[in-house]
Amino acid sequence: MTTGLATASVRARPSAFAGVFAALVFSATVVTACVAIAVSAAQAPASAAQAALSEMGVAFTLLTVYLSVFVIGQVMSLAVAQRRRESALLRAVGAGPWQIRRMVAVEALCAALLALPVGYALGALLARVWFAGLAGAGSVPDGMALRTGLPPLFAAFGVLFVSSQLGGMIGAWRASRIRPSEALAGSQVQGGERPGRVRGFASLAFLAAAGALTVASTVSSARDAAAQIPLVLLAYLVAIGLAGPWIGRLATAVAAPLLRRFGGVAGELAVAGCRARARRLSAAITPIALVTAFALAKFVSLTGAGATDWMEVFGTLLYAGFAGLVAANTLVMLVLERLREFSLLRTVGAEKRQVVAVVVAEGAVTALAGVGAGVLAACAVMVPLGARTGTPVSGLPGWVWAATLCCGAALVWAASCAPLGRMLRVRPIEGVLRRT
Amino acid sequence: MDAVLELTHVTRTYRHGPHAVHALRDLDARLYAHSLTAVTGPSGSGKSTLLQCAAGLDRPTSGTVRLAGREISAMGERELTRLRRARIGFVFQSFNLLPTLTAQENVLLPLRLDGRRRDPVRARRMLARVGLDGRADARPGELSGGQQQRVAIARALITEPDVVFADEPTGALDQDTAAGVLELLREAVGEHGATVVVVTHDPAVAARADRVLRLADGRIAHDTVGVPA
Repeated sequence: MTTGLATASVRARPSAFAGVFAALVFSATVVTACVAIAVSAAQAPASAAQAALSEMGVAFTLLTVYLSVFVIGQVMSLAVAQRRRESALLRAVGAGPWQIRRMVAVEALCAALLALPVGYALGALLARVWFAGLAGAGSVPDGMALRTGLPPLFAAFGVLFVSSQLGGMIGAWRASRIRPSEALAGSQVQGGERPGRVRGFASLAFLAAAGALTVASTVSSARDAAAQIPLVLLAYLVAIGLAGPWIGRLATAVAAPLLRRFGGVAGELAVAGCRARARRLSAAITPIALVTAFALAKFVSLTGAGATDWMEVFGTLLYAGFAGLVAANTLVMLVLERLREFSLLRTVGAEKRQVVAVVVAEGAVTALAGVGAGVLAACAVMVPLGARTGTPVSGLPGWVWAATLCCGAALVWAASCAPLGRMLRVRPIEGVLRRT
Repeated sequence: MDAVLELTHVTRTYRHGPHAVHALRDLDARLYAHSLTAVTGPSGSGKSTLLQCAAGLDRPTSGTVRLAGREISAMGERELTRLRRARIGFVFQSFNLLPTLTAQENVLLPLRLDGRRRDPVRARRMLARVGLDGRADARPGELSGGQQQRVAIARALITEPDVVFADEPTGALDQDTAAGVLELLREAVGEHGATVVVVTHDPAVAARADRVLRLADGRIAHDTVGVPA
């Protein structure tokens, strides 16, 4: 019965499932690649180069695991939230809260099992490219061979399983508590629920913890401080994720006068949309903040690096690419759920370019909030810790800041507009009448 | 009397794999201004297809549709979109309003999309006309089903369109609320000279129409010109 429910729920909103699947594949890929390199380095005959590579492999592995847990948790709870109406319908016909939770758990497990082989294969391929790069740069220690084998598979499965179940649980807990009548009304704003007080307090708690971690790291050795940077950043990002609705509201308030003045009707619609859909805006902000913060922190650290270190460069590219893909994936998920709204606009007389203009204007708010939060998080970490590790923030040239901001905004716009081509080819009346 | 809407030899065929479904078969109809026309018929008789073709939301496979003298069946997508927001009003059974906008903003939407300036006075007057004074700032989620339909009617009428098309506008409402919504459409015709085409299952709607087109199997089976009760 539960698997029946799970299949039906996947069918009802395939884009949400596809989004989760993609995030799981990305995570499995990077985890597999990092673990493969780390294990291969650890098994090579001991030498100074081997020790350095092995240590770096472990550091990258830990970071990708943290990032994956964070990202999968986010995407999974978004996917559950997007199916709020279907869950309400199930509740209305008599499904108990535990049945909803079990449905989500089964679905998460299936997605993880399907994503694992794909991610593992891609990860093994990526590890080869990485290893070839290292060999080309002459930084492979003597006697080291690339071994993919089982450890990466187990690691990837563990990460996928734990984080998808965890994210699903958080989302399902909320979904299973809604009153059946509440979400059935078609006039409800998707993602417009008010953020609760618990969320606010949790955000403040993480902010305080991140601050405390920063202080603790400034008094440790330069090496330890450098190793702590990703962890502290992640604590800030969890705080940002929790505070997302409020950050979104702030960014909307800042951007509103400009958008209303120069954005015409599209600007007005965008402001109204951002105001009403604080939770969805929050889901878009977090991954953008993540990729911005990690990229900036890494750039600052790299200002101190001497000769180009292949391991370092590749690892950075790996998780910047990962974070970017995940952010794009989330933005696509968020646009895909709005077919009905766009179609309604078009039946009332919006031209295609006007719909695109609305999405672009909303993207400006998302970019402002996401990139802004990311820059603040990066500064909060790197101003004190960069000084401690000998790479002060002031060492980063202005053009790098500008380029990062532009890339962040370009990512938001490109990903949000990517699905529009297909969505705007649907006849407006079909889009309005379509059930999902 | 001039026909506002003229359908000539309209055929609409859908392909479902190897099968062809004839939703409309060589249908002719002329609808006149300042009247309420009800289109009825069993499910699958082509009512909604007729409405969609007449409103420029769908293109007939063959035949022509003329609205206020202009052939819309030959128009491109962009031209049709402009026509929709300036000359046609819509009311659907449900999901008529953008949930993120207030009632007033929803009513003004067609004008704003047409690049005209914000005119809150006009929107409030229109909302008052449909019996919703004082609810201009409410969002759809805060309004009842009947009130949402009233907002949708206000939005459909604000551009003073050539024709208002309504697809089962009372389908999701209880009897009393439905009667109120129907009365509003009747008033739009009687007092403001609008032209309204309603697709409906509801005999109460048909009974209040100036003319009833009964469809069966993609053709007009009965064309009754009645005196609204």
